[in-house]
Amino acid sequence: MEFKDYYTILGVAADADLKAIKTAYRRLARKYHPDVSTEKEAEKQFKDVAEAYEVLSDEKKRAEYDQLRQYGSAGQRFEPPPGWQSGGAGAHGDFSDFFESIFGAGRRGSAGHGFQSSEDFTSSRGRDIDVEMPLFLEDTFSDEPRPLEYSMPHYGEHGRLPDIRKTLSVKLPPGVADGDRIRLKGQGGPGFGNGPAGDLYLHIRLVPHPLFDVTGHDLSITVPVAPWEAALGARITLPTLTGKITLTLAPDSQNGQRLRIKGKGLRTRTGAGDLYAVLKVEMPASGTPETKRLWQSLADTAAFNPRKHWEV
Amino acid sequence: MQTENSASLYLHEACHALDIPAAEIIEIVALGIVAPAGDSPDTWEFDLHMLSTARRARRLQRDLHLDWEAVALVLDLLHERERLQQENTLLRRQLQRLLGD
Repeated sequence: MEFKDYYTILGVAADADLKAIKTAYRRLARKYHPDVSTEKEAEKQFKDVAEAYEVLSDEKKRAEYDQLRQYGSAGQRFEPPPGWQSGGAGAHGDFSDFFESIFGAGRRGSAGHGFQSSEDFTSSRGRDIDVEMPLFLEDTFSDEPRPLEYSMPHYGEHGRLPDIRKTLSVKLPPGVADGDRIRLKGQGGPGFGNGPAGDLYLHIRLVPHPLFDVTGHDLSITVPVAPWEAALGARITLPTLTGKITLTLAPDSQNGQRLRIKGKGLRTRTGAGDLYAVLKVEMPASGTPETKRLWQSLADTAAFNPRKHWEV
Repeated sequence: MQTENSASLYLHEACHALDIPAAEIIEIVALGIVAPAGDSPDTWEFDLHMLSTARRARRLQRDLHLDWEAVALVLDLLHERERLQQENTLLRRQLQRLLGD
């Protein structure tokens, strides 16, 4: 496994005092806390920061770590010296392989400092797991159970083992929308000792669609139309999530006009939202001498000044 | 497997689900961080959005050593930020469709 330099992670000198370490931790915890942060890989960074603080803020752990640090440096392969036994109490939480190899996992001991502390190790509830479940818009119309794959933490006698991949088949309630949460009881991390398993929380995320934009249960689609279609009216074939429909444009339609098509939005619990067709009048890129003549004729005939209100 | 979406939880169930003592949940509610239906702790019903908010509140309070008042403010700001980000993303997409960048 890779050696982790906790001092570098916190951005402090190797002889930093506890106050400096605490300040560094607080600053970085704010920056990378997954509930708050917009940084990339915030969760991973936060774990590193929290783990570094767990070690460096504890006198015994820090001393042991400093000893080992003489033999390794960041990024290098690392193995604890043979016969290595941590003298300090272990900690209960979600730590890296590197940490576990030094301080051992699954040992009853001091509660962690501000990170994943658990007083009673012998019997506690398993971890809750959050999983994002991406759905295509079309999927929300099907009642078929959907496969879900996720990683579950796995613990052996001596500590954390590699995660197991688990697959579930999930039947989603009708009318799921973006951001909805679904709780699957007992499908989370295994409980410790006699503790119950944690829960699995599905976080529904609708995948952006090339044609449709989503607002709640309503959809909108931008409909390119020719200038004469807007002027004269037209019948337009429109795709929807449940098949094609015909949209009737009235004469003298405007660019940006919104036309509401009831019931062609996303499925709700009791029915469906609406689809809004937004007109986008597009000009042809070029024309023929004949079309130019016709445009000019139109220009001469139609009394229309779109800049009337400028008074220039 | 058929999984049930458990739509609402009572206080003691929420305590188990969140691993937070009842006293803290009562404080979270008192601050308006979540607003369960029901007049008293005995009749409170929490939906999943509330659970998720309460979990977030707990993590912020614990990990960032914030008091609950600060947590309430942070959550309000985060909620508003998310709303604005979503609105921003939607408007950009719509703008792109209309103007064809």
